Amino acid sequence: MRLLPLLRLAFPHTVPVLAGYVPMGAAFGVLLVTSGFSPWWAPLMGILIYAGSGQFVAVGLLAAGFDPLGIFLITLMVNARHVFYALTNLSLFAGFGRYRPYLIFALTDETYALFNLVGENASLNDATVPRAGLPAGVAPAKSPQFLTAIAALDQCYWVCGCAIGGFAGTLINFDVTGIDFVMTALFVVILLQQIEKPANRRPAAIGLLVSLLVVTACRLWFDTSYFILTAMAALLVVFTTLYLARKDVSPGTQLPSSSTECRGGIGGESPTVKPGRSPKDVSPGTQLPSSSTEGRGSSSRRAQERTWSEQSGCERSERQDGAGGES
Amino acid sequence: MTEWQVAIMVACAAAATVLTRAIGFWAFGKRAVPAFVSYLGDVLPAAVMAMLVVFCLRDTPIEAAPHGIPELIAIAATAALWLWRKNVLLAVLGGTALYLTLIHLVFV
Repeated sequence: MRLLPLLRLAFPHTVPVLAGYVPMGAAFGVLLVTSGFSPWWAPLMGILIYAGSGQFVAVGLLAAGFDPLGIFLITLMVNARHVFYALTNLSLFAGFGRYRPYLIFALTDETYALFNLVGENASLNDATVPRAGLPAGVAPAKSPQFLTAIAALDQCYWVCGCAIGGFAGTLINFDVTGIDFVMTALFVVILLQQIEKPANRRPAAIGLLVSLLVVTACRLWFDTSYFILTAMAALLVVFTTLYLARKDVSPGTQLPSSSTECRGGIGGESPTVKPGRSPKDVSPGTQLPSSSTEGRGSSSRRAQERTWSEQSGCERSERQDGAGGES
Repeated sequence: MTEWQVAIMVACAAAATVLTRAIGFWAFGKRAVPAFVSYLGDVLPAAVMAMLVVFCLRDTPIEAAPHGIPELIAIAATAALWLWRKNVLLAVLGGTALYLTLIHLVFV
């Protein structure tokens, strides 16, 4: 049996996730059952959805009533950050063949973090040591079998946690109001971990500021159920604006009034963006007459850039490579 | 809601989750990543995490008692625990335990 040595090799690396997923999954199971759903849904959702924050959000949406499109869109928005996990694993997963689909399916925040940790581990990158359960000459950190073992163990912990919470929640009848604070605390800790890197501080501050504006607008004028969609749209607008501004305007250049007004308008408008409007509709281009007509399709950004620099009369800096690296 | 309606909604959540995880691989599996996309890849994770913290607290009553004070204390404790030990589990469970204590025993 080649599976057992492989799991034995992977297990020690997954212990931090074991310690996190079982109580977190249990908290989810308890929340689901106390919201009035069958306990079987707890492990089933762990198997089928397998997304921590996505599942917590799903409980609230399920309790709110039948709305398939709503849950689809909100889950899309809650999990939108996963899109970017793909970008760091593109080349690693490229030759993984039949292991690739499951690795992509199971790429949660925690599994993604473990893959990064394993990738940094010197002994796991040593291809000269033969390992039971792995082909000779392949380093564990680069082998689909080893990474799949990690991903599968993680999902086992999560599903077990969900099941424990789901079934124990029906046996023990206690008040679980506030248990979903686990999620808040987890996000706070991940955020703190991220801002240890100086490059993440400005994006985090922008994210916090935009979210606070959006949540205030939601609470004052409409409903907080639109928060994720509105905040994501606003964030995309702000970051697109910053990206375009950085590419087109060299630092220290005096901006003519038209361009300054444009940026001010976006900043003031973003919190009250109507839900459901696509980011494109509120992108900087829509305020510029010439690009609003051609503001869709793959060439739209280039068109916007050109219009922007023509209108503002600024020199276009040639810092294409530096643009992404500065953040 | 019937069990079938729950099943349909769970399937939708599952499909959306798979889509978010797979779309980056589909889109950029075979060609170079555009500069704008890798810029978003750099800035969005931290911004999205800040957004999710606000998302969790979006319905916290501020005008009425207890004015979000338990949330504020528990978040401060979570942050302090993490900065002290750099242990994710300790910080998350410690902060949650304090929050549960606060809302069930202190700010009743």
